[in-house]
Amino acid sequence: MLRRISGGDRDAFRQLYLRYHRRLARFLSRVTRGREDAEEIVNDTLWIVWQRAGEFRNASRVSTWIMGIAYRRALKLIRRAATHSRVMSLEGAELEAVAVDALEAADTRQMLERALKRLPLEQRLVLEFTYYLDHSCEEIAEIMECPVNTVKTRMFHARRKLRAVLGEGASPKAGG
Amino acid sequence: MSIDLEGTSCDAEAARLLPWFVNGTLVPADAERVSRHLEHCAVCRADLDHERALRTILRNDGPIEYAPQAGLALSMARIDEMTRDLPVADAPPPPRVSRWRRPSATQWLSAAVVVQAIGIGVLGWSVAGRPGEDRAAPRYQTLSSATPVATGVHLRAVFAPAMKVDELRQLLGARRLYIVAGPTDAGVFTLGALDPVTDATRVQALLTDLRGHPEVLFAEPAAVDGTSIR
Repeated sequence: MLRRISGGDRDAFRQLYLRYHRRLARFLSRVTRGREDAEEIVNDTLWIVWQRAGEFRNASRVSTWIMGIAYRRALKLIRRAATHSRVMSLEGAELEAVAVDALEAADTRQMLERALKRLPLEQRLVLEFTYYLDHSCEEIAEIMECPVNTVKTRMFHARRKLRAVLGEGASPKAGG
Repeated sequence: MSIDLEGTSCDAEAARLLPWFVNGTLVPADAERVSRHLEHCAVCRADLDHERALRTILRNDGPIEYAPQAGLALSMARIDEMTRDLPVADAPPPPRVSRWRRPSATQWLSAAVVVQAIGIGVLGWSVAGRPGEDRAAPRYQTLSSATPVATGVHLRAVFAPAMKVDELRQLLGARRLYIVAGPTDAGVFTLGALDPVTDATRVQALLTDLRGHPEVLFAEPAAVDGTSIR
């Protein structure tokens, strides 16, 4: 399909757009300020795919390549927003504050969402790439352009911090 | 279930692979290694349940659905715009251009150029020969007219499929907009302003107004006097 797109095939682009829009939009809305940011990044991402489809070299899965583009666009937007103190900080926040918040949260899911939002962005993204999008450790390393060990370390810290928050009151329950 | 923080740490490499064991993306050798580790590590077995529950929650992110049509239309409009801006030799040719460029049409092209030149001459003479008349570009278009080059702002817009022609006419008329081109395959219209608007603030106000209309799926600036303002 990317070969067709690189040749200017608009129908192929339309198919790819429809195939990836939902997956990208739902994921991106989780890690940005919401729907509007997500839509913007999805459009930017797929526009880049249209322009650079010819550069894809089959070194990875198409979905990994596209997610890598989306990741870099998201990072740019999030960092710009963080600079203006509007959205999550790359450094994360003090987890003690989350623990206090957690006491007020209505259920585990809310607690989890709040805890996730306080994770350093890179750690949260590793979690989301793993559990929301089912990427392998190696694919995440490719998307985030970092060593595999860095991915494992980020995941290790993310899990430890989530346990620190959630372990006090409840662990996640799938039914919640 | 709560997790006792004391004694929950396992330093084995297999423990660091647990999330990808849960999502099923480990290579067989690593999956086997984790399986063997789980047989004798109670901490990791507890973690396994925890991680599975976490994954389930993360994947169950509510009923929000995203409609791709507006974004797709925007992207197709960008492609249209880019295609139009490309040199003809590089662009996927629009039908009219490609027809003119077929070698077999050369003779027709020559004849058409002559006829067109005569027509332009007659038209120029007739306009120039009527002193006192308004010589501004005519604001009408016949079905056979070429796409006009509107002055001032151009907008790209997509309207709800269920929108009636009368409603579209009212919407455009109230804002003194008119259709320059479209719809494209993706349903994108190019709009021009009868009162040329180039001031960025007024353009933004116009866009905000359009976007607030329930029948407008998206509205974006396209160009000012042929120059993209995005």
